Amino acid sequence: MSSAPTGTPAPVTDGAHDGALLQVRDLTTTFPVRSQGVIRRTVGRVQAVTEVSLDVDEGETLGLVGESGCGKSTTGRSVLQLVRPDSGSVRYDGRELVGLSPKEMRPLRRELAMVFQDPFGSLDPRLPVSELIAEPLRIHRVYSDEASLRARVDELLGLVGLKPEHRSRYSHEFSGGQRQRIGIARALAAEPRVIVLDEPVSALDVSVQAGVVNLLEDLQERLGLSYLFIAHDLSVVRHISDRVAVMYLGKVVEVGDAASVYDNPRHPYTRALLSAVPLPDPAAERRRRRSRVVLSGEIPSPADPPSGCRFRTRCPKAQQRCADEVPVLRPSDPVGRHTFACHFPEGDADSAA
Amino acid sequence: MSEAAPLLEVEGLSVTFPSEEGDVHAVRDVSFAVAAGEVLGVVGESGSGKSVSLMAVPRLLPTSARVTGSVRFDGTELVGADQDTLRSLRGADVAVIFQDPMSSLNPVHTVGRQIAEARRAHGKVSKDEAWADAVAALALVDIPQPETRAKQYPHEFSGGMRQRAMIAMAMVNKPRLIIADEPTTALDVTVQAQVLEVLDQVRVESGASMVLVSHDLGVVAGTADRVQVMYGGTIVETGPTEEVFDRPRMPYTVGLLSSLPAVDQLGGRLQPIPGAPPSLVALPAGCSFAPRCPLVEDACREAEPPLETVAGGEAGPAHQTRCRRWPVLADGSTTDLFARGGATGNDIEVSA
Repeated sequence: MSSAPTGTPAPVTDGAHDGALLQVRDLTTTFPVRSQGVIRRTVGRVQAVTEVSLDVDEGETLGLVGESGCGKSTTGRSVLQLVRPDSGSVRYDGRELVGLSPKEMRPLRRELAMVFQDPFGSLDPRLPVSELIAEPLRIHRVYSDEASLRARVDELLGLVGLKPEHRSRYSHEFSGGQRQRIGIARALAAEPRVIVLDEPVSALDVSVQAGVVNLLEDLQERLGLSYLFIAHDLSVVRHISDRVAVMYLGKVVEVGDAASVYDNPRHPYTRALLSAVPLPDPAAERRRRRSRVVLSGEIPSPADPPSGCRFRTRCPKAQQRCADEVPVLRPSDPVGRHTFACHFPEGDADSAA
Repeated sequence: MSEAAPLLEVEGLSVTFPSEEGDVHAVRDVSFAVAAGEVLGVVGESGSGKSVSLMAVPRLLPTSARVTGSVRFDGTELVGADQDTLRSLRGADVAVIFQDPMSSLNPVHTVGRQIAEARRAHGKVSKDEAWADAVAALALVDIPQPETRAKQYPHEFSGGMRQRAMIAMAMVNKPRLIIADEPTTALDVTVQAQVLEVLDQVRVESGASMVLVSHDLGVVAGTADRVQVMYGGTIVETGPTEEVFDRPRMPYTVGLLSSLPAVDQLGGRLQPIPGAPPSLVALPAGCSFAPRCPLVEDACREAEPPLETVAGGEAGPAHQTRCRRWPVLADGSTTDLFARGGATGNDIEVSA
């Protein structure tokens, strides 16, 4: 793929302005496909993320939704440089992150944190809670004396709704919801400004999930955090997000204010995705099932994506143009806060662009 | 409900597992019935006993499980039944669909061969007939080019196709009861919609009864005729689906419904249920939900309340709750029952 010049501002693709705290432009990340056998030569590359542009404002939550394999997690990791993007730009507070060495990246990691899905897998079982939370503080040498460190750990425990007496316990002694609170306390330890949350509540039961979602909202308000909230659960994403980006097979297909995207989806994939969510309301759900647009097939392999629009192989509206021409993000409203990439969008009188 | 005996009748079922900390009371005194052609939804969170109670029917439990009570399928008692009786039932009259098709399919045999073997295990058919039945079953679940697909291995199928193959295998012996345990939980939402549609279609065509176990209230809402809510190993509310969802009479059900964010509207604040589910090793003396319940009274902590009928029961299935205080829920609005649960909905207060 042609390496896009990163110095020139990309065309406004997502309705955000220049001042966003986190600006992602044309981010592309590929993984090698290796041959079978001993040598394991690289025989091709899978485009996990293709030319993704996103903005996250200060104090804002951008939801990133899509189904498995759509590249949403890889996008989150590429933003934090946990995987190296092939091309594109990630500017945090005016600084370019793409191309920084791990050493150059280290001081910035204080400000850019991550919360993972699995509260079991991401917490070292051999460390007590106090050490789990203190670890990032030690790495960044935030405190020179143990007393201050200890006080900060207790403060963080309180912030996420745990008690100081929990400090000497181990992660396996906690329930799933409490473990996720520990993961959040760890992420908050070094006072980040941006947190990438990768499916943070997916492993939790709904009654517990609600508490963690509320906690994240409280913390954001209290600490002015910016969230990139990655999840497959469309209801949770709608609830927590100011703006939402929908991904399909490595590309952003629609982005805009949460209410606008959910109530007036323009991309046929967004519409199908929303219509597939079962509602916990028997009468409404039975009605929906009758009118549901059930997509055929499943997400194609990102190693060999369809030409043109990547969704066309499952799209009920696909035409020849969709195979020939890659649709670019274009505005749905005059101010361009809601954009979508489709030649024949939903909600157009004649479907003619 | 019709006068005929129900297809499945479970009475006083309890399942206990020994553990180092003591006996785990996974299922406690559970009774329910499923009529011919009926769909029963079983909902609850992890550890509520919803899966174990259904896996006890075809006896798909670890050997350490102690099962007491009665499970009658079409009049035949299954608790204590010999292996031959159970084996002739499993995969024939009673079919099970699991969450993870990859672990239920054998990776070294073709999908068609596995379905054909399931067919031959329960019917006197030739290999060719069984293969033809397998291909027909794959066609039934909308797998394109079933003849070609039957010759492929599970890894050549996508997740949704594998689950459809599992449904095909479940249907090949024309079961009278399908037990579907979180059948779409591992699937993406657009694929889930496909699989639910297929499941609905084969079930309606075959006239089989179904028990659908799911943590997803939306999946159950659209499928089940009746629903039963499980908590702490027992049924805490049961009734016609619309009754239970629209007029819940158990604080736990109210809490479950109000903790869900809505996809079709911008919500205010979510209302979590404070606290955590009870340990199944050391259950509280009274109502197992009492420690988390905003309506709790002293009497709730003394003895576990029985299931009480709140509506119906004569003409149709009854709506029952295991809550002494249900009239409070019937009187007032249930929407803010958990609203006073605090900022983060934790039993631990936030030291701001």
